[in-house]
Amino acid sequence: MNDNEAMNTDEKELLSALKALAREEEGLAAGPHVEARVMRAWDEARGTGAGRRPSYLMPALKIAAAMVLAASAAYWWGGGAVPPAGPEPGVEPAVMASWPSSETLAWLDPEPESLQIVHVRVASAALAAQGYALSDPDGDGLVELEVIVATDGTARGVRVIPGSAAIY
Amino acid sequence: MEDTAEPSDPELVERARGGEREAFGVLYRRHQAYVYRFARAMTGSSAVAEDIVQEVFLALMRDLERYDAARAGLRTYLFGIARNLARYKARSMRRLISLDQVEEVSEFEDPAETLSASQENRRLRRCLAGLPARYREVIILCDLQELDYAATAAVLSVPIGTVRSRLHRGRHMLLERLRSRDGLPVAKRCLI
Repeated sequence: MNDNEAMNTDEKELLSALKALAREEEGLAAGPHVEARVMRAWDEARGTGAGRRPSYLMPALKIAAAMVLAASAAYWWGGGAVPPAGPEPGVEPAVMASWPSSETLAWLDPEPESLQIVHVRVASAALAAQGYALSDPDGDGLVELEVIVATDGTARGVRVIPGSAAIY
Repeated sequence: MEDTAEPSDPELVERARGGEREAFGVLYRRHQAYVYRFARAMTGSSAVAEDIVQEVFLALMRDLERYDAARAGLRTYLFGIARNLARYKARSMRRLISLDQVEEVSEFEDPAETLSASQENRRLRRCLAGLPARYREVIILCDLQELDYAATAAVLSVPIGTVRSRLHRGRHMLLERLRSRDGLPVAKRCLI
């Protein structure tokens, strides 16, 4: 005799009622927010998931950051330990490349350090064309500047020689 | 039962152990509703049941390596965790409010669901919630979740004979509770 045969009528009806209750609850389930929390926990524990950066991205970002730091260090200290003199406001080394060479008069001063100071006379009109208006105290159309040049030939800084001109 | 074309639980567990997110997601979606219904029947609270579902799957996530498919099916394993959590939470709830109050809270917790639920099922649910946990859980597992005696014994960590005796005793206690409310025969009581 199995369990069902041993049951009396009340028990059978109770089982029937329990089955009806089970059928009514068949559609019940935890809300989607529970799944979201569980899968977020998975992502945090395993370091994966759609909401996170791809795994290859972090090393790439680290390499890029290291390259930027290395380039900065090379720029500031690559030619020697002496930091450059700060350029005058509005006068940038990049301007040098566009200056017409025929209007530039330059000579080198020997320096004990690896940096050299180059004195240049530049057409004030050329600087004005770059947006840097300088006075011309000698009236010859030229202004005198100092450029700090590293051994690799890169300009580290530019300044107007005091008394030779004034920036407007 | 499960579609044979779907990957089995042990296969999904193995893939999840290897870090495959989607495998764990499939396991969650396959079993969460069963765990939720079991927890809800045990605690009488939808909110607590959701907490239990979350904690059960977090526990599975932590102990994926420890799960042994040869010892128990995954659903049985999950029910075992849920059962321990439900009993723990029930003890915490009892410290705050009496059992009768728990039943009232359960009834009014989901107003929309309460309105749609049939009266006899609500009444049966209330009487079931009033049973001692050791009888309530065996009825929920065998009669509502339809686990066999062996699986129920595995969930509860008791011999099969204990499951049978608790089930027998639990059903009688449930009948007595149903009778004590209105004195009508079971069939009529459950249809009121």
